[in-house]
Amino acid sequence: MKTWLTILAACGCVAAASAQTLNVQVGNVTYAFAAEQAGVMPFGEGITLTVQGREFALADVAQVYVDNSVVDDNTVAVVFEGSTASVVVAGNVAQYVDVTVDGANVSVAQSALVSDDTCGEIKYTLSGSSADGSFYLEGEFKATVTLSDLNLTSLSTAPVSVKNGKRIKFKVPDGTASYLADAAGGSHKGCLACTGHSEFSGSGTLTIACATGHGIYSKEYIELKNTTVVITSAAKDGINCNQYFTMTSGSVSIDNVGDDGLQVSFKDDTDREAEDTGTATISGGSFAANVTATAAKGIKADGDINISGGEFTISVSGGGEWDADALKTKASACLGA
Amino acid sequence: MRKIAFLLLMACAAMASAADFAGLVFTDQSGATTSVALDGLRITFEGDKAVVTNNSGSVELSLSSLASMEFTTTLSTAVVAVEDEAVEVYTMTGVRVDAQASLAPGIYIVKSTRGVSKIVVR
Repeated sequence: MKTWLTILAACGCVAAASAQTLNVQVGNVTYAFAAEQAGVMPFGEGITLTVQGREFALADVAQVYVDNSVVDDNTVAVVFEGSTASVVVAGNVAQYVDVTVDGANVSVAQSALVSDDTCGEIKYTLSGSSADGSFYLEGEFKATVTLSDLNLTSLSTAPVSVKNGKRIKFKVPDGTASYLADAAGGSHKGCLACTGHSEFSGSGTLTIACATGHGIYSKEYIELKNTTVVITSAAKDGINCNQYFTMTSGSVSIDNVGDDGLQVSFKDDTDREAEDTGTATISGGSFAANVTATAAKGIKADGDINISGGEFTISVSGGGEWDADALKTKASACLGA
Repeated sequence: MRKIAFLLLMACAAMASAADFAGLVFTDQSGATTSVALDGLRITFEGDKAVVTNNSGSVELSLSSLASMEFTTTLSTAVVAVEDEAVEVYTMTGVRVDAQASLAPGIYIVKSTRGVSKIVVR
């Protein structure tokens, strides 16, 4: 048995050592091309170099170097380091993403050409820490954003913002703890804001303190599984989404919010799609909300509130008020549908 | 059992060798090539030059005449020397060969002011 393990280990070491990567460094962004994928790399009139479909202006290239690093296909790794950030882009998706780094503010434009017929889904990993940084992603194809021990505060915008109407997986890996915070006076809708379908998974912890908008905002549905979400404060709702909210496991804790704990709204006023039910469905996990705002709800939904499992601790103390526009009294409540 | 283990190790080594590239070959507009070993390879672009450096030295290539580069598993010339630096290349049997000529596959000893090293030409 020991002999076989030794042989397997030796084979593994040999295989790992054979990785060769061509790195093209442009500012704080490194494009890492696997040597076996690079092929012929043409120079263009002495001013450009093209690698795997990505054209580089030589004037922008700090250096090109070869090492034994291993970069998985379809990945973009962002590491925040105080006042700066560094990004490594896998070579096979280099031609499909435009990355700009301004201090610790990272902006990624995902090409409209990204599809199952080209490179497939791109996976972004965010880690490190910055007291004034942000990650902004725009695109038109589904993507995965992993928050891995990320500690990110932005003084001017949402620390994490995704402008993409498709399915966005937000992964919070087991054993990791990430923190997002912003500053007051911004125009963003949430500390973590997404214009698409937000699916949270992974057993790690995501803690949010939002001074401008909602703790988490999603223009379309939110699905939560296994993740621990802690909203320590929010200027508006703790969690705000449209279409529907489902929670099958994990934990949500909301405190110090300016409005509702969780609010689920219809996306469209009329001609709604089938999934646009405005419904909050909780079948497992734990949900705790302490809501003090006047006439605010622990859970508020335009549609139904379906609870079939889980543990709930909801406290409201905001009392009621007269709504002069709707000509009716609004009262605080644990559940409001 | 020992035979199986030995065959497995040889197979793994063969796989690793087949995947490894030995260098980068630069081709200019006329088709002429310059090969550079990968050890410590770094390229910077300074004015109209591509400065290619590795653990053995460096070479400058004119960007205006460069057509392409690609990885290669074989090196036609394994030695990259600093301009005007004296380099001596010997076979394993001690016979001196022309450092500027294409070297046949084999193992060579390279002596320069930077020291002595053993290289493998595949």
